[in-house]
Formats: sequence, structure tokens, C-alpha cells
Amino acid sequence: MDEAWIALRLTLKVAGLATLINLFLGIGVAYVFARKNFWGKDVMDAVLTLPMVMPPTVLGYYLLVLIGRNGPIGAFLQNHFNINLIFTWQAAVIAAAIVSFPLVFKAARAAFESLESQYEQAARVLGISEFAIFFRVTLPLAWRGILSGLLLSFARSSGEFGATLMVAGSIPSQTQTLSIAVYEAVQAGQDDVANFLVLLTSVVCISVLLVSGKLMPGRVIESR
Amino acid sequence: MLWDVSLQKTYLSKQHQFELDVSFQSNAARLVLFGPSGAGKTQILKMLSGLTTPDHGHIRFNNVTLFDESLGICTTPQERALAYVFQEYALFPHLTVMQNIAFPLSKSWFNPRPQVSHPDVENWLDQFELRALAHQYPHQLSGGQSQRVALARALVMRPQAILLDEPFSALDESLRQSLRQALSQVQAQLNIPMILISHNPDDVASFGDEIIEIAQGHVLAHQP
Repeated sequence: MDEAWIALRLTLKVAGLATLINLFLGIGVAYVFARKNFWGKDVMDAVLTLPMVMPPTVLGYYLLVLIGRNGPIGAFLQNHFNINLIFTWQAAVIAAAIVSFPLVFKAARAAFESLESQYEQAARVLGISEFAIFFRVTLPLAWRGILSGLLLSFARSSGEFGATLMVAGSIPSQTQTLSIAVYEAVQAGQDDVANFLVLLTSVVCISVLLVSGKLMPGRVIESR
Repeated sequence: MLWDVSLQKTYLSKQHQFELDVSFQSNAARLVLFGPSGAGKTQILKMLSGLTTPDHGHIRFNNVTLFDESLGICTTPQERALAYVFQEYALFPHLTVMQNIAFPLSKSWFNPRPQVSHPDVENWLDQFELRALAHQYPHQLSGGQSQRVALARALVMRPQAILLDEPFSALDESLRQSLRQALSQVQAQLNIPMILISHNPDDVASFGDEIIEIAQGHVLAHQP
């Protein structure tokens, strides 16, 4: 059962880092989309939402083409920094971050767009810089919506299978996350291991959903 | 000259087009822009404060140019330091009364702490009888209380002038009279220039040292 705990630790590490990446990337991109108008916004929105609707294996294949040894990013990293991402846990983080990005992006964008503009305007005429307004007014008023998106992103990341398997493989105690370990255990006919892993995964997922449900918008005390 | 203003802006929507073309000069410490709702009064105030930019024209306050389209001058709302009291008050729902009033005093990325202490904040808490409400949140306040907090927050930044958008419209008649008195007292005490917009003839009677009547985006009459 030691492998199960190692897989759990790896899963939490991968999902945690992927969520951290989306904390910055998802919120940043969502803010730009909610506040600015630019050419090609609709197309970019569709592209950024694609991971939510595309089969993870297709996404994994794209990723393989990009960060693989012969891909544009992979070759660049290999030649300049001697970094190989394929079949590492870092590749699993990238896969999980991309797959769960739309969950943070959509939630944060909706949270920013539903904010009444008068609060930011009030801060502006009170002499507060745009940057400070983001941290003092915008983010505190939107955080519930964003946080529930982040928790869903964490849950989605920890359950990631298809794209992760394509780019990170299934190396026990290195890239074998819980969901992949379940698959391997079933394939090998180890029912007791599979049972334990499935139970562990269910507990993690239920905890995340319970926390996320408590933070869903709608529980906010609305201002007058 | 206290106010030297010339504003032109075209608002386009799918249904109709609205032309705003307003020019006035005034030395009055209390100026009332009077007119029916939809006349463009709020838009004028937003342009004066810098929240929206006119297509053409200029705004000079105390012989300082805040905006001049032909010279390419457009100062930010932060630089103008004109206090703006919103019709719905726009109190920050995540901050207490005390934090709301202290909001403009710190320009940093962080909001004032709940236990903030500053002589100016204390002064306005006492003057507007808000001491007992200092640790309440905006959704716990009545209309009249919210209005006094909004006024205190605007005055604590020691603005060059104060702009008020229908400050009494959300209150019942008995409250209006006492708050008119309070505002009148403060204005006289600080000797701060004030522009108030209203569709209520009683406001005009109380504050109209000088009255500019606005209808459909144009100056109808200017009574010194």
C-alpha cells in the first residue's frame, strides 16, 4: 500500500502546483478579458475554453507535439537548458494546468464581470492607483467566485488521466498519479489495491466538492 | 474662474444616439445642475471627475486645466482629487464604516485594518454621528447613515471640490431636510466648492447659489 500513499502525495503535488499556476494565469487572463476589448477576443476565448470540451487525449497529443523532443518548445528547452519534460512529473503539472485552466478562467471572468463598476470607480476618484484597486476592491469582491473555480480546478487536476498519461506516462512513484494507478491496478488484476485507491480518490474528491460548495457565490451577503 | 467647462460627447447605443453638449462658467461655491433624469447630469459629473472622457472640450478648475482635448491634456481621476459622492453611495461592501472612511488615506495595496486610527477619521465619525456604527458593514446601515459615510469618505481625502450625484434621492423627506442641513454646514465650514446634481426643486432652493438647468444634454438656462 506504500505505493498508494506515494501516488496520493504525487497527485496532491501535481494538482496543487497546477492550481497555483492557474491562480496567477487564470485570474490574470480573466481580468484582461473582463475589462478590456481587443481584436480577436471571441476567438481567443474559444481557444482558451477548448480544454474543457476537447478529449484529454487529443489535448495530450497537442502537448506532446509542442513539448516533445522534436516539438518547438521541447527542442528549445532541450537545446538551451538541457531540459526534457516528457515523462516527468513536471509534464503532469503542465497537462493538469492546461486541462483545468478554463475552470478558473470562466469562474474568475464571471466574478469580475458581475462586479458593479461603481466600486472601482469610487476607488478611482478616491485617488487609489489602478493596481491597488485590483487588490483592495476588485479581488476581495470577486474572491468567492474565483475560489470556487480554483477548487474545481484542483479537483479536475487531481483526477486528470488522459493528457497526463500521454505526456508523463505511468512511472510508479515518479509520474503515476492516483487515477493512473487505479487503471494500472485494475489492468494487473490487483483488486485490493484498486479498491483502496478508489476509496482514497473518492475521499479527496468529496472533500474538495464540500469545500467548494461552501464557497459558491450566492452565499455572499449582498450589499444594499 | 472656479469652473470653466465645455463638454461634448456623443453616446451611441443600438436604439438611439444621445448628444451631450454643455458649456458653463461659474464662480459659485454651490452650483446646482438641475434637470429631469436622463438629461445627462450624471454624465457631466463623471466627465468632471475624470471617470469618462469627453470627445471634445475642456475642463478648467481654479484656472488649472484638468482636461483639454485640443492640447491633449487629460488628467486621471486620481490626479484631479475631486471627491465624488455616488447616487447609490458605492460604499465598499467588504469594509466596515471605519475602513470605508479611512480608505483614501492609504494609497498602498492593502486596505486599512479594522482597528485603523487616524485623527481625520475620528473627526468625521464624530461630526456625522457615526461613532456607534464604526464597526458595522454597509449592508447593516440605513440610507441616511450610508449617505453620511459616503460623505465622510469623500471629505477625508481633503478634496479640492466635491461632486454630489442626487445625494438625497434615495432618502425619505424627513431625512432629506436634516441631511441637507448637515451638508450645508460642512460645505460652509470647509469652504469647499460643490457641484450638486438633482431633479428635486427643494435641493435647488437649499443649495442653488447658482443654477444651471440641463435638458436633453444641453444647457437650458443659467441663473446666477
